[in-house]
Amino acid sequence: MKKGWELPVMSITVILGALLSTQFRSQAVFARQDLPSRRSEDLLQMLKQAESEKDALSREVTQLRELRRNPGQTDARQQQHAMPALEGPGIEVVLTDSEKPTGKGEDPNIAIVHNDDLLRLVNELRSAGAEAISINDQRMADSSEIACAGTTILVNKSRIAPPFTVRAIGGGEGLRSALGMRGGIIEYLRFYGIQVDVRVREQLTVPAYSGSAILRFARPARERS
Amino acid sequence: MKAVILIAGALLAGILLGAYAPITIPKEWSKYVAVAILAALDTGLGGVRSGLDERFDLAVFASGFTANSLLAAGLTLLGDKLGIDLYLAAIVVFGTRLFENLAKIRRLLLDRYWSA
Repeated sequence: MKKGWELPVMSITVILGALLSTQFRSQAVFARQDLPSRRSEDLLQMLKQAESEKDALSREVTQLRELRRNPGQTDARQQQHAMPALEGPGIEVVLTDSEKPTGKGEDPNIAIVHNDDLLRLVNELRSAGAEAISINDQRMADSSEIACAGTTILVNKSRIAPPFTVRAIGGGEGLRSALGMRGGIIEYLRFYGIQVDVRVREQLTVPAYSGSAILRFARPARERS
Repeated sequence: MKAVILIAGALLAGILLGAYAPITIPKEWSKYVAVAILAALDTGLGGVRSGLDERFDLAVFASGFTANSLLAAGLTLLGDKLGIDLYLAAIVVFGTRLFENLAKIRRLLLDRYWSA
């Protein structure tokens, strides 16, 4: 039986080689595919670091702006955004996402606080005569946006996340009744399961505006007499 | 010696074939391919050994390859279903046999080309 043993063994060896190199190539592909998961953690770390740096810098900007305002040499452009921290009586509203489990066929989207909800709330507060408003320590200026940014909300170009604490200086009871009127914003939000906590405060502080104060297009108009 | 060169050439041809074939193995299949590689390696070395021993039998060779591959693949599948890494059993057995066959081949080659 010595004759011809090489050929069968060779055919098996060809299969072996083909399997080996194919497996080798495939494993290299998997290794490359696994890479992004490790890198996303690095990116998250970098994002956190950059955000804390940004927070520190924006605090510094606020301080410097305060410092610059005090000597009394403000021009009209800065006046536009001169919004120092204010304190007084007012109202504090805390919005938290619904904790009710979403039922079958229900859209989980309705259980979270959206930018529209905050926008309506702020609008309601302004209509009721609030003099200064902040959301999660972001002061509402005339240029402040309340925009949807994925799972977070963008206010003054900063991301904020629930729970949302809205502070408004004004007549506390008046503000509360404006929000709590029948068919009003609180009833609307609670209908969707969002937890709304309203507290009238004797004393609360609304922080200074920390966003950009530079006007690139707008100029003070010439006064016509 | 001619046989060894022929078989090494076949291995190289197979490697080139696999390297340029437009096939990638899905991740779920890589376990099965690993076991198949070991089965092929085991069969190949076993064939070389029996060939050098002048006891080669095509029927034994072919049935051995088929049966070993099927058993190994079956064990892997069963392990997947049970959540146990049963394919390790096949790998250990094939690995042991690999070394046994290699030792025999070494002795046969030494007998043939060294001592004589």
